[in-house]
Amino acid sequence: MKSAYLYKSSLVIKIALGTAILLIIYISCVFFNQMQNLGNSVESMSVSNKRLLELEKILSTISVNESSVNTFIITGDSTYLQKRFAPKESLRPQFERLRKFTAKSTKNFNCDSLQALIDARYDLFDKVLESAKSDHLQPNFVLNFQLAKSDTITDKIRDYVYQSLDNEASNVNQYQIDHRYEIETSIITSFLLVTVALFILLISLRRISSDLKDMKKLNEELQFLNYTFNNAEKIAGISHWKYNLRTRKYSFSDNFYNLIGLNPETFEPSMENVLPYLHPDDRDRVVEAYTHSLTNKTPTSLIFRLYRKNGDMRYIKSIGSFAENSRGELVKIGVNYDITEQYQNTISLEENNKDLRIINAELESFNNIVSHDLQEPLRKIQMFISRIDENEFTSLSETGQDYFKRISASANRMQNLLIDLVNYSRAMKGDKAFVKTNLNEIVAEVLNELAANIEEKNAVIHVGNLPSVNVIPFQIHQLFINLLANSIKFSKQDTPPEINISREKIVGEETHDNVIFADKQYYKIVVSDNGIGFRQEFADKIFQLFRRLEKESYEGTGIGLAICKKIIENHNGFIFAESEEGIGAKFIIYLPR
Amino acid sequence: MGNNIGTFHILLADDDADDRQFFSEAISELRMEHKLSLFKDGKELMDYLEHPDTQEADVPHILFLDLNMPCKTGLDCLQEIRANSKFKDLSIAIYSTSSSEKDIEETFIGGANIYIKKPNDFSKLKKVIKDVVNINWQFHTSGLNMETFLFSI
Repeated sequence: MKSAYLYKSSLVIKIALGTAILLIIYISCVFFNQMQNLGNSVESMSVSNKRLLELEKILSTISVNESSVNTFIITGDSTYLQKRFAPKESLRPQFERLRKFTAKSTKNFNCDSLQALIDARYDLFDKVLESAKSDHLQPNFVLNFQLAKSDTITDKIRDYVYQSLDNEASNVNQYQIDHRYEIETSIITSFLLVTVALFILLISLRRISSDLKDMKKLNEELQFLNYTFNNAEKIAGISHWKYNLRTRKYSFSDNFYNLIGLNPETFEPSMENVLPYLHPDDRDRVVEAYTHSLTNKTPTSLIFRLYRKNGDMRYIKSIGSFAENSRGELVKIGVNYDITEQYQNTISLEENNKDLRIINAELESFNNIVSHDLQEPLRKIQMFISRIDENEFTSLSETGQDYFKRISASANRMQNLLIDLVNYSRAMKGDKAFVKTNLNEIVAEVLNELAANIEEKNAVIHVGNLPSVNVIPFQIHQLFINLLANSIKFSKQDTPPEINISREKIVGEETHDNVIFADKQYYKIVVSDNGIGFRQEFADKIFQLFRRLEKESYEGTGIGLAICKKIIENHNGFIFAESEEGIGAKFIIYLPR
Repeated sequence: MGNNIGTFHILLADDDADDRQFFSEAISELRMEHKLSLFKDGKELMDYLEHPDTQEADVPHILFLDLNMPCKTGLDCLQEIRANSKFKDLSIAIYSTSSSEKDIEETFIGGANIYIKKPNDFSKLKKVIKDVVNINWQFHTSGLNMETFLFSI
């Protein structure tokens, strides 16, 4: 987000700077143009001045000549002429300069017409001098005529020069007016433009400096992130590596080297440099896997062993996949992590599991021995007891008969114990198939099986409408046998047992032992009786193996309810007991739907 | 196969001497006019059955077969007998201490007619023998199913 903002702002600055530079270039062009114009006008002004100077010189030369000619005519002294009369040739340099200046500015000025006037004047000088020299006695009117003509031409020259002077002066004046206006406007516009450019530059600078601050902050954050990342890698025993498929260059993180027990950047990052640290048996496999991956652009997941510098062998898991970097180049990025501890734990766990399986198998065979092989001699003892009971009992003494009855009772108790043990071990295995079964059918079978028992105690049993549930049928059968036998057994001496088996709807949510039950997930089945019950504090203990609350007056093995709990656990269900001593017991079963 | 065709011949193969004794005592106490032959293991039983002198008319009527025996188990004997058409009329009652489902299922599939769990009371033993001998086997075999297979005392 932040970097996107910076990118946007740098674009804004670029545009602002570009605008400022364009403005400055434009101003410079305007200035250059104006300076050039100014130079031109100054030059044309100096040319005008020079031309005026030359014109003045020519005019004064003509005047000097005229006065010396006049003096000569009046005095007849030719020395005036020799000293002060400038010949026509002496005016040539003035004319050349005049022509040169005039070439630059042709406006309102014709050198040739001036030359013609000058030539005409010199002709008259010559004619005046000639007539003055040759014959002093000549009638004066010729000379006077020529002098009058000379005056006219001189006046013409003077007029011409003055005319030119006026023209030049007005020209210069016009130049000055023009350029003053231009200079004034250009000064204002350039001042404005420079101010605007400076303003933009200042804003850009301000922006740049604030962006730089942000950049610095970002950079610091990035550095901290990098530091955290490196540390995290170190703590977690993780390292990462990259391979650029275009530049064919590897890069390894610092911890990559740490995992090999080396300092960061000990060697150039490359496959060849890592190989020597790999377990020799793993090298070919690893190289093959990576080559295949780079050719087919498939991700890799490998476990290999590597030797640290100090000779320790470590198990490394390496996972790699492909991604594109900001330049659109394909890069393989991978993570290596040290799984030595996990690997060793797994191995020891597997060994433990194997041991456990062996112990389990031994326990099972022990259970078989106990249940089957012990039943065989017991059955024979009972057989002999029945033989004596039938034929020889009366011939025993009274004490003998008493002892014999006790032997018989003990043998029967042992038989019950063995049967329960077999049932318990069957419940322990819990590897039977689940079948959708109507619980009413199972309960009907159970009632049939317990018919003699029920009749003996005059028990009344109410069975409600039970659901069909996915169960291991013979185990649920066993469950109801045990629960009902339990209720019948622990009935009050004077009251015939009354037992209710029903399904109860779970209203909202019910909580037992921190487990929450909802109607959507569980069936709740309740078996309640009016027997002697037990103190609620024993509610958990009654489900423990060989735990009996009533030792004296009630027979029992202490296995029955433990089997029930086991069976319910096999079904991922829960069984709880609730009771009030002397009132009755209630067994609540939750079976998953 | 009625009681009127000569004497009813009963076989018992059981490696346990006490059980053999209980069995013969029960038969004699029942005062049944039956011939009883006892064998102490599966091999002895099969040797007797497969003896060439044993004629088809002499083939016994019912065999009480223990499962857990040395040399040849009851299941081995069952399979061998059922493989031989000479003994097609021989009814076989499995007579075992075991009540494991595995044993019940295997012998049912193996072709036994009934499965009797050895009782632990002599009077019950007498009742079992009496009941089993008196079963109308023809009728019983026609409705073969797992429920009636296990004989309830």
